[in-house]
Amino acid sequence: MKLKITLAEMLRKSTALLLGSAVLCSSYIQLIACAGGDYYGGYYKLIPQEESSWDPYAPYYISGYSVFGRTDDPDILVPSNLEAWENYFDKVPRPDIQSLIFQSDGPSLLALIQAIKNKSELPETWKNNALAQNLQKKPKAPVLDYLSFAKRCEKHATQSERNWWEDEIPIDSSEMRSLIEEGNRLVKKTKDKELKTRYQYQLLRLHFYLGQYAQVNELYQETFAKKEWNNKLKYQALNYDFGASWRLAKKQETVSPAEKAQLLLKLSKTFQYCEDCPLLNYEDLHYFNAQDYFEAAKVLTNKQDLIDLWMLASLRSVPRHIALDKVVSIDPNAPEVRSLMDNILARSQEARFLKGEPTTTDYFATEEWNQIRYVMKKASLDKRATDRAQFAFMLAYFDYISGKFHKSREELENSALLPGAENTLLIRQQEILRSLLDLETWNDRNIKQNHMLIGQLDKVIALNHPELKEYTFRRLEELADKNGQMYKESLLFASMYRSLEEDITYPDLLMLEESLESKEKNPIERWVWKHHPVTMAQINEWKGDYLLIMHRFDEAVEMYEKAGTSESLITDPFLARIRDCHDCDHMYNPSDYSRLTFCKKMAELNAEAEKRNGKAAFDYASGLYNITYFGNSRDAYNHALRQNAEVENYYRMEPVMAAYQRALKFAPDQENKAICIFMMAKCEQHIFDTDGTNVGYTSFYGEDEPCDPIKNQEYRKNFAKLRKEYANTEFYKMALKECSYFQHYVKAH
Amino acid sequence: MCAKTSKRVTLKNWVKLLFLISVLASCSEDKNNGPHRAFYHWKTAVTLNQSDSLKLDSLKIQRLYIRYFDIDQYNDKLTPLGVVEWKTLPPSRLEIVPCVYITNRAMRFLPDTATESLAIHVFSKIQKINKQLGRDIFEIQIDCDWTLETKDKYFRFLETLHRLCESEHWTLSATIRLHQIKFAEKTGIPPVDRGMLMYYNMGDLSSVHESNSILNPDKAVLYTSNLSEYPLQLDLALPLFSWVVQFRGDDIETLRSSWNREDLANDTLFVQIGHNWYTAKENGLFKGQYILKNDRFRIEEIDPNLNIDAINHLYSRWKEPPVNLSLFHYNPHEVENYSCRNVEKIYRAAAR
Repeated sequence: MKLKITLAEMLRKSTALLLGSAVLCSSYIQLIACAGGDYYGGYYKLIPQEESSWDPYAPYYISGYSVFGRTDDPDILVPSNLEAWENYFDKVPRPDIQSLIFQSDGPSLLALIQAIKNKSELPETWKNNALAQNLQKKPKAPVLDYLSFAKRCEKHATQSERNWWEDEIPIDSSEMRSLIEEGNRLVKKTKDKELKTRYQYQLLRLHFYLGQYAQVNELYQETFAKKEWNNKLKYQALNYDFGASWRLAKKQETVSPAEKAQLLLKLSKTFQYCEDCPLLNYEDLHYFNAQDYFEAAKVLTNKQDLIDLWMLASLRSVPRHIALDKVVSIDPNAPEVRSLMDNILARSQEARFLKGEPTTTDYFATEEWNQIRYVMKKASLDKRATDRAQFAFMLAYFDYISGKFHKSREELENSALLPGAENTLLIRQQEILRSLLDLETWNDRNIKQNHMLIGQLDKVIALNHPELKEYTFRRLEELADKNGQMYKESLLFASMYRSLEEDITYPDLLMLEESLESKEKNPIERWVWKHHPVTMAQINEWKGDYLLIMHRFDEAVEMYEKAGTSESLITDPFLARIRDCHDCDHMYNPSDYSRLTFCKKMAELNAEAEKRNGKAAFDYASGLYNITYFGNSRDAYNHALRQNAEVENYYRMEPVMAAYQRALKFAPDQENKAICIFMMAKCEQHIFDTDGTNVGYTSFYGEDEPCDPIKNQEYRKNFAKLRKEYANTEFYKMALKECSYFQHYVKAH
Repeated sequence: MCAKTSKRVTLKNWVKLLFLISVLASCSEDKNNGPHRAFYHWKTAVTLNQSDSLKLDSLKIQRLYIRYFDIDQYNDKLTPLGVVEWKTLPPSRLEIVPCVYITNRAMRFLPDTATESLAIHVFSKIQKINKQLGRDIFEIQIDCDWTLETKDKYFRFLETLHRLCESEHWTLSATIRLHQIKFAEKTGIPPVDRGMLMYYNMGDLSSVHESNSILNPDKAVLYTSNLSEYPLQLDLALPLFSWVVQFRGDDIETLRSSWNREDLANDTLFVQIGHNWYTAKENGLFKGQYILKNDRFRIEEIDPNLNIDAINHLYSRWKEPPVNLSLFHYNPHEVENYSCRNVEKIYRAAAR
């Protein structure tokens, strides 16, 4: 008989295997090892993002930066630096531009430029780069000088690669000054407008990092201020201009409101168009407080400047609804009004409709809520506004979010009468909100038999809005849950919006089966089964899973065959190891088994084992072992079904122990008996580890530590047996070498 | 040319001078016994001037625990942030204990295999900063509110750091929070030479039901029953700071660390609604910040007796008294508000 023990030496062949394995002996097993990270359930987006496409730059779910979006501003589409280079080098693939201009290191790029200028062969690294090949054809192209210059400036103007553990690299001012001189010469020399701008930008950066802030302001005014806003470079330059002004202002004892207003305007522009600007940091906004914005507003006169100011203020210092009020009073038709309203709604939604938490309606009973409502109402009443219907709808939605359903209905109907109500998107949004408001009137009486509910559910399905559908059925599930007698309805509603795979129980399965087959369905049952995603085949498959967990393999086979399908297993479920590798076996031992074929095999092995076949008995035991938590085929279980109260087999090692005991009985020789005993020792340890009365896991603190825990562990009866009776086997030596627990046990005794 | 300094000595200046003298006098009353007196310095820029030096002298402060840097995840790397800047060097007679604050997020981010590397980085960064300081140090302190999730990594990091510290004959200490005393079996004992019990920030800052999250004796009692069994020798850190917690509805809005009771009491925007609670009567600007009507403000401050009671309570619980008693943190205005006499009382209460 040849037992299927995979030699431990094989494990050594792969370090990855060792690292990934939960080994029997050299680490303690943590029951939480497979737990994922923090659960983030998100929230329902009941008026979803794609439906707010009327303002692509101000979607409902906007980040701090994009709050500025304005559809009427063509400059919103500022091409990135990479895109600008793409236009410059016509038809050169983007990755090649990226690797040559942005990712190359100094020496490599300078060597390339030198080679091109000398008309030598391209260096090996650049041979396949299309941009390098393109440049090779024009050895006198002025862009070569620029790239060489820019690369030499780069190290003085970037800190991203700095190792923060090291000391700051001191500024090499003499090199920077000579680069400035060279840059000035090159600006004069080049006739290429694009390159001229780029040289000026490099000069701006050099002046900035040299601390010559006044020169930065001057250079900006001379070279960038009058340029079109069609290139990101201008915004980056503006960002340096802002940075320089700010640093100069900080040196002053007092900064006048007018100066502060100008600073804030510069900052708002860079925030608006250049969120990845090198000097820009959202946190930096704390240098300006609310008062600064209010003071600045007193000195600014241009409408758009004022709007920009309040938009910036809304990011950090001033409550959004206060900023909204200001912007509405300046111009109720400014797109920023919508941006701010969206943002307020998005944030409110986020707080209100958390997934995975019971829905409640009392989040907004605060002064802040009153104030937000007041400002939104004011906007919807503003006769200057052309989109009052939308504002009224947003107010209705805000009321709904806040749990003020009557007010919400009033505003919703109001929104249908105001200017702008003919917008088809708005009409759809109104329908969604009507459905949501209907939902709020439902109670458990409706759920039992109300035909109106069915009509409303039909509407929800017809709206074809996945989030709305999920939210609706989740709310209904909650309602049904409140009444213990409506467990079936709760289950049916749940199955309408999510897979039950993860939390179905065996009684649930039977209930679903009964409901599906019943000839006397109630109206809700009839409606649900008409739209229901669960089939009889699925129910049978889950029943098969349940029987598998119960180790009723023959019956499981029958059920899987009835279902016509079963899940595949990720690895060979009959492997046995000295050191388990339950999270990595699948990488090296792919499996052909499905749950069905596994059950078939287990039934066969069991029958063979009954005939005193040692190998069959051992493989059967290993099959049982591997479908426990500690084995490599934990995926054989349906995770939900294993939580059934009567199913404890996932952590229970006693049946496995008994199966190895049987294998021991039929094992033909000392070697195989030793292996069986060792496997029983593993079971023994798992029993100890999972026994609730034990304080901790089996502890092992490293090679050099004394082995008291091992010595004092009286439960290790099979280690004792192995040591006493099988010390002369080959397997004993192998186990001693591989298994630190065993090693320490032997040492300690 | 001292004669040219013809600055007018006004009555106001005389009052100031007299006040300073009285403060300094009150700061130099006691004999120095009991635990070594210390302060934490938790700002990035060290700018201790003559007046600070006099204050520290008169309070017979022997040690300054200075935050050298924080470690946090930044741009997908573990990075030292807010590295200390020596605008002035601390008085030479003070022993300096460099402190490094590591966020638990950083510990979570740290790969299992990189604990040793982080320890080496921290050690050499401290050495570099010490060079700027230009004097010997004898202890370093690591501050991290580790959790069960990060315990193993944090302890491995400390083990390596400890070995490195031994090579320089430095003591390695770590801050210990109250929950780590109460649940020592679960949270583990960090592998360091000594601990610093942080006896503050023990309440639920964000709850409107909290009375004082800085020091809440009722809560503290629940966490100190097994203090005597804690195997590490512990020093003690007590609070010497105040702040205002701003609430909007029932949710915390922000922490206003530079505001105090007087600020709110003296502004008509606010009205007192409880012993340590104020509310805003209307929307408005206050100290540059925008306040909404009905925002509520909880003043959290430390009454001198609270600290003394804390000391008495702790002395009834632990086996050995602390070798070092440090106040968190050194802020000249706070020391003046608190008055040197009261600060002195705290140190004296620990001298027994």
